[in-house]
Amino acid sequence: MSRPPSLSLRRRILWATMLLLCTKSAVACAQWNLARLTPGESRVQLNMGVDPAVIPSIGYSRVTSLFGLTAQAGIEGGVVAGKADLRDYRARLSGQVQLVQYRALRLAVSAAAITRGTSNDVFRAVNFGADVGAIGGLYRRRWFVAAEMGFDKAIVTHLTHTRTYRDQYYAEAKDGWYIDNGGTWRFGATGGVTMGRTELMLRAGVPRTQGGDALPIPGYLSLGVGVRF
Amino acid sequence: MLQRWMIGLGLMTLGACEPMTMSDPGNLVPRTVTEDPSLPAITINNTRLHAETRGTPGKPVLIMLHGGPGADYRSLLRLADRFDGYSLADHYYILFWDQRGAGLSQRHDQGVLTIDQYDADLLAIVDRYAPGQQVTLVGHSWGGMYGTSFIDRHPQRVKEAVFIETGPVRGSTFERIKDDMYDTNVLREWLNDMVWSTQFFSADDHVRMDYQLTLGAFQSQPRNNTRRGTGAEPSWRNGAKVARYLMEDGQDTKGRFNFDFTSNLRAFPGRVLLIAGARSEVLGPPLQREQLPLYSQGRLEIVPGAGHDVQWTHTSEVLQLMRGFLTSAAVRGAQ
Repeated sequence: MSRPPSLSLRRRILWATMLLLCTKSAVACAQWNLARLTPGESRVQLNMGVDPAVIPSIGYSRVTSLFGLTAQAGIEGGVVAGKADLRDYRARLSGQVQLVQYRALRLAVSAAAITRGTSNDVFRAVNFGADVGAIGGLYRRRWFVAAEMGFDKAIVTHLTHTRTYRDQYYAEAKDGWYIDNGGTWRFGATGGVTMGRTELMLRAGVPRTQGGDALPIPGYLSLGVGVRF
Repeated sequence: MLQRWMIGLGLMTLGACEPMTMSDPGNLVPRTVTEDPSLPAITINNTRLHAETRGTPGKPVLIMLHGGPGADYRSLLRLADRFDGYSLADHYYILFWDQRGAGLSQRHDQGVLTIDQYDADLLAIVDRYAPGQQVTLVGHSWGGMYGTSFIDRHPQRVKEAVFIETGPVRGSTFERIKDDMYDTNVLREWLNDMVWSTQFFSADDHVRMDYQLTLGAFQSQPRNNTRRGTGAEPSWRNGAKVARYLMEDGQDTKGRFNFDFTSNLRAFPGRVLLIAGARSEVLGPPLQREQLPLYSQGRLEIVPGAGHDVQWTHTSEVLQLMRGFLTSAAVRGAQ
């Protein structure tokens, strides 16, 4: 079996930079310790994980008060690994509201608007989607564990097929905007610890297609670090 | 890129373009025979198969078995063309067909995508085109595995066979070499492209599943050393459910391959020609040399400079080998 080729210097630098700067989340502000949310505070977070591709990302969120409820608004962006092709990207604008608190138990819901792109051997695509989710669990000042579920809807996608696909497979493939593209469910757990202004977070779970089938990679896993200021 | 988003959103808002639906036939992948009546097709065992023949009825029957599982016969068609004045179609009545659930044949769900059903399909085809007679089988990759399985179960129905770059015919062999066959490094571009595509559409029907599987067809097996770009091996459409469920049918409950297509193989008295591409690192000469003794009358030929797609890139050389091997009276007469 041949070994994978070693990373070029440029890729090593890019990877190192990304690992320092980035991580990834399902919804940028939904995964952190709800017990540490203080209106007026901000957070920068870095994530790295497999969700569903290997994608490092960076995000920013700010805590505020909304009709008496604690809320966060956030923005996040990431680029898929592999060749670290900038055409394989995702950006989110998200919000989260903590709806319920009973002692250390908390429940929050979240929503996000998403755009993402990709370029591969078959097509180039731009997608606009939406993500809704809920997370609930036991939140202490220094740690938390929670269960999460959510649905990421790929609302509309623009496809442009490659010359390779037309030559080798289907010359009459139609370029244009597509709707009714399905989406992805996620069911998982998350937990984290807080050390001063820094939080470490781990998420893992199972994704399913809108119809309930497994994805090519059967699970998602991400590790994040956030710093409040 | 930003400009394209703005234009796209603007057009949609204005209703100037009508969005399409991925699942509609013909948008992303070619129509199957159940969606396009103009395609050549046959019906056997309650399924409609994309199929066509070359040559003259009445001549010895030669049945082509494409790879995959789940691919199609497009890349085998050259084997019926004329090279150096020779054509198989001069001597055989050749059947090309897309297997159940594969290529442009009718789609099915899991229940009828099994190795036993595939065996019944091939037996029905043999009975239809060569009732009471023996046939010659020519298979590529999975097609060689499929043909070997058929010989193992029905040795009396096969006269001889040519298997090109046959995959592993025993589950234990598959288990041993599967990590060499597929490049599953989590950072590989093809793997990330494939899983990232799930963010743009979910593979919840045959069209989307087949389309998504194509992303894995280009780079997932780099050690096959197939031709890329101009002149690469063509295909019409992958059958994703076949690729998944037929493989699963050859596995135990823990997902380990446990099939065995060789339990009765040594009893087959006919000759089998194995052809390998010299540059095919895993499924090529090493595997074919290992599997050669499984056939009682086996012979191995290696095509220099060729990869796993040897039947497409080196058709003339492959046909020369086949011409020298096939023993039908018609071929002997031609020689």
